[in-house]
Amino acid sequence: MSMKEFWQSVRAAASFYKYGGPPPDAAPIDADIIDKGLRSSTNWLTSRTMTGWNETDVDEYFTPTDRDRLVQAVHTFQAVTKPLNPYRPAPTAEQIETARPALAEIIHLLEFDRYADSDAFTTGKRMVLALASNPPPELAELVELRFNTGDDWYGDPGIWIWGILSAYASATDEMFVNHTQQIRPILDDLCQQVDRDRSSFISFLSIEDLVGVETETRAVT
Amino acid sequence: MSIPDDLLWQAWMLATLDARRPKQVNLRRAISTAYYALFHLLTIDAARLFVKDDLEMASRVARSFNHANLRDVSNEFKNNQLPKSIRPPDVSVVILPGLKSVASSFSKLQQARHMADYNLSQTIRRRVALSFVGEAQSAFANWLIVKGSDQARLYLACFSMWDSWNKPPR
Repeated sequence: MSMKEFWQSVRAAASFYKYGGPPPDAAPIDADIIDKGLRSSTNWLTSRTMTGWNETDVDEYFTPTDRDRLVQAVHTFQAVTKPLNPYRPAPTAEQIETARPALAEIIHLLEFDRYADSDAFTTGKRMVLALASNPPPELAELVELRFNTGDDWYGDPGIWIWGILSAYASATDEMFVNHTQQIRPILDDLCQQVDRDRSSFISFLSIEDLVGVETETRAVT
Repeated sequence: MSIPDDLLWQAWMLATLDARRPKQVNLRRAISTAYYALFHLLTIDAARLFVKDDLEMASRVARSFNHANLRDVSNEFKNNQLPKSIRPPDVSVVILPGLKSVASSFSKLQQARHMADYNLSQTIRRRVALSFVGEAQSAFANWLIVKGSDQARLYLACFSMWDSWNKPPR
């Protein structure tokens, strides 16, 4: 629960980021958007932004490198907020300048443009981490995964997984379908291992279908 | 070609009909048709468990199956489970991978079909529709491999026996 709570707390602090569309069309949240958003107000500069943080939860969701970055950023942020009143913080300019890059780093690592909600993060991120540690060759043309959760038509919990394929894999309809047929069972099995209580609903798009992502591609992790 | 095969072909045609500016109605019908292709493939075979020669009667039996039951049965099989009353005690069941895949595809396509037919607020992308048609194609191929197995017959039998079998054993 605490990882979900932490994710939600930071997401609330990053309210400047509007998704810009339903999954999988969320606009990319890059360094400029984060920096501009955090400069527009200092409402985020409170210890409440780190509610739910528990360092022991982190290993499950991040690579060792990203884990260290996240822990470091949270520690920096908490060091600034510790002396401040959580409900009426009156930070100095120096405190703001110290905390802003730390929170920017945390927001960057939590990837709100890939995970639409905290359940999507806890399930999806574990899937992504598992794939990164042992990448199946069939997934070579899978550029990115995006996740959101909700209830299915019967009211049971589901997770919607959006696989984004490379332009090469999408060159023809036949190639595209062929790739989806190879990738889908792998994602399906993995999702069942990670979160047995949710039905997975997997859809695929080409990188060319994503709004505003014509040229830049990102790795799955 | 059989009706399910024709439906699958039609689903592909609808999804690829207008590559540049696809009409939403065609993409929605493609997804819905892909689901119905699989639905009819399975229910026709389920009806043939009971009626071999009388096609008229087999058709009536096939029409008696219920979408929600098929989805519940499919969810059990894709999770390596059998209905409660026929579940072996103290032994974990391993469902054939091909059958699990068919069951999983059925559940997913049914959800996709609901989205395509009823959620008109969501724009459907051509490649999303194509990927669901591809899922149905995979399910057809897998079904051809496993349909002669005991587990596949049990899966089909569950379509009609679900309400009585999904209870704890006496």
